Amino acid sequence: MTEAKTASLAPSAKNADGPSVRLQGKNPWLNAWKIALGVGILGVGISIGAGAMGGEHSALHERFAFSYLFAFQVTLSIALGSVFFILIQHLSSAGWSVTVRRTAEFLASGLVVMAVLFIPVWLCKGTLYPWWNAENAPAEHHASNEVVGTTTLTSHQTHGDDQVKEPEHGEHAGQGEHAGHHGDHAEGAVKHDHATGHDPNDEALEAEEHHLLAKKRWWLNHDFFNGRAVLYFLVWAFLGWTLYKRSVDQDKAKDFKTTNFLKAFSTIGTILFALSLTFAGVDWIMSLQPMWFSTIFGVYLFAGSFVAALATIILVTLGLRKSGVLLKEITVEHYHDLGKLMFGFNVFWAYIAFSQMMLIWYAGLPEETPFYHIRWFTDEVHHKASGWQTVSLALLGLHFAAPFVFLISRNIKRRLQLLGVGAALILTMHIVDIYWLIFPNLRERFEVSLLWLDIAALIGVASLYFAFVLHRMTKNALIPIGDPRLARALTFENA
Amino acid sequence: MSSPEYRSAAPPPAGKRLALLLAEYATPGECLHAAEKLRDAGYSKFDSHTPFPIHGMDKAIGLPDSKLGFLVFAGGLTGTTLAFTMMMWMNGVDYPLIIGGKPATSIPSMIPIMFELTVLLSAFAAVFGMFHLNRLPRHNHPLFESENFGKFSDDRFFISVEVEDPKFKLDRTKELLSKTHPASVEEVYEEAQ
Repeated sequence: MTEAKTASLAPSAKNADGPSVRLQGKNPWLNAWKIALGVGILGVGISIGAGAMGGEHSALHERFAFSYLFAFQVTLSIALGSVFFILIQHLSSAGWSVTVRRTAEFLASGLVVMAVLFIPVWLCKGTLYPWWNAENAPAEHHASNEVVGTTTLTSHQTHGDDQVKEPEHGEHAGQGEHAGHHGDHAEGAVKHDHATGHDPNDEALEAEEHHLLAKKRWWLNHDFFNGRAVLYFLVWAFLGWTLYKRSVDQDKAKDFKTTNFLKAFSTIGTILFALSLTFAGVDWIMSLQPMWFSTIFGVYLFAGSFVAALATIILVTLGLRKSGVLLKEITVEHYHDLGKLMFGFNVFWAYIAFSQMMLIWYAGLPEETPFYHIRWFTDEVHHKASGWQTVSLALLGLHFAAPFVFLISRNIKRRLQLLGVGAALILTMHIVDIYWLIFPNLRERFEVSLLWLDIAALIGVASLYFAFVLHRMTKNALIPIGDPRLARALTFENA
Repeated sequence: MSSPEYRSAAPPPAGKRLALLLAEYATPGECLHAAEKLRDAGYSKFDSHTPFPIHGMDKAIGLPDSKLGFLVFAGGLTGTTLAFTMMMWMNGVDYPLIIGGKPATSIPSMIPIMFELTVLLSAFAAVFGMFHLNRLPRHNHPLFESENFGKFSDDRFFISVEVEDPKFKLDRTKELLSKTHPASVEEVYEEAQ
């Protein structure tokens, strides 16, 4: 970038609106939302249909519940990561990112549809979360035990419910069947008996787990869970829509007031964001395995979400660039900085992932280790490799190591196609990461498996979300043309 | 456009030799364009001295990408390897200790040390590599012979062209610099060795 070029760009901040920042004419992005809507309805329809086809306790139904939760969490993480991107740009009064910020605002505006997309997850809560049915519906207890399968942890958990709710746990028919899953111990009624062996420590362990779950009941109960879900979606719709709407309104108003408002709003917004993302992660992912806990889990989800959002922003803006818009507005300098952020936060993700793993590995506490146990070791019950070890290693190699080596070079971050390759790799591995968080809790099949249902659900949910986002894009300028800091972004260079 | 003021007399002072030509500019733009002119004329051993960084100056001078990144990467890699080898030898071979029931050669417990040594040696490589590439430390620089030069940290912009530059010829370089609207062009001398 020479002076001459920046000089020719600088005045255009005053009349930045024009064909280069609007989707118009024959731009293929104009109709993308229609395609996304069609694909989304098809994908979600097929997967919901498949989920409904099997009975309520069928393997297919359970698979659908997990597939849909996976698809929902992937989409949600991109939307939430974009919110965080906008929040920090406002908080730091960033000038460089103004032109990029609008793409993030489109992605954040999609949070308003996430509440609707959550409905199938809510309907499947009994299938997904082992603590749900055990509590208030003893009639379904038997059935839920049937589904509850191979991991010793969930068995403890079911026992735990028994102790909390029904002191005469020994008489449950479901438990006999349950223990049968675990091996030869027909005496399921004797609760100390399970497949991990005959370790005398088991009894103490189990008592401890009963105790733990009883302690968690104040959080893991129906009303509070539902109430929190409503709260999360209210907060997210409020955050996403305010950040988006106030910014597009500024396109016409061109005032400083909006900028000052959004800066103040972002202080509260960041706190709301951090709390809602953390607790939603606890509710919807961590409680798949209710015995397990990790205090850094929210940070882990946050790191993954932000990296995924940066990768998405890079890919979307590169896509827009390809159609001939945003050529001078988002230059190689902006992509370079987005690449730096993505690289840095990807290392941060690895740092958090390792911190969580090392503390649990080091302490070796029985209520914490099962999270890694089911993602690393072979299946104790069937004595065969589950395949999750490969996925865990893939996360280490392809989510962290490969992008680290690839994106560390300045020259690669400044070559847009190569940066796009890096972003695509990171986004793909983020999807694998969410997959790795959710699917090992699937009780029917312990091994790694990828079903057409998972892919259909992911494409469906993501497409519905993107249909909304892409539709917003057709209605507004692609950069905040009324932002007072626009000139700084248009002339931005890395020193 | 006033003609530049020449600060130095034609005959070199006794016992001194010419070290560089120093051109002074009133604005960053003039300084940047002067650098571009020198670069386009094929000069390579010249530098700018400005009170603040000027965007685009690297390109105007024609500086290649810094090699520092490679030094830092090598430093970091050395740190990782060193830490791994050290821990493997100490904990795994020389004096194996079982801690917390973990195998003596557990990699997870080595990672914090590998990380720390990577950061440490990267930082060393960055700082000392920067010194090396900047040819530091050195006790003095002929630039400080110029009394005018002190303004570089205030409100003036300077370009210095070293005599070691293969393209350097006093008359022609001076002529070239005088075409770049300098406030002054000065011959700077240093003690002859």
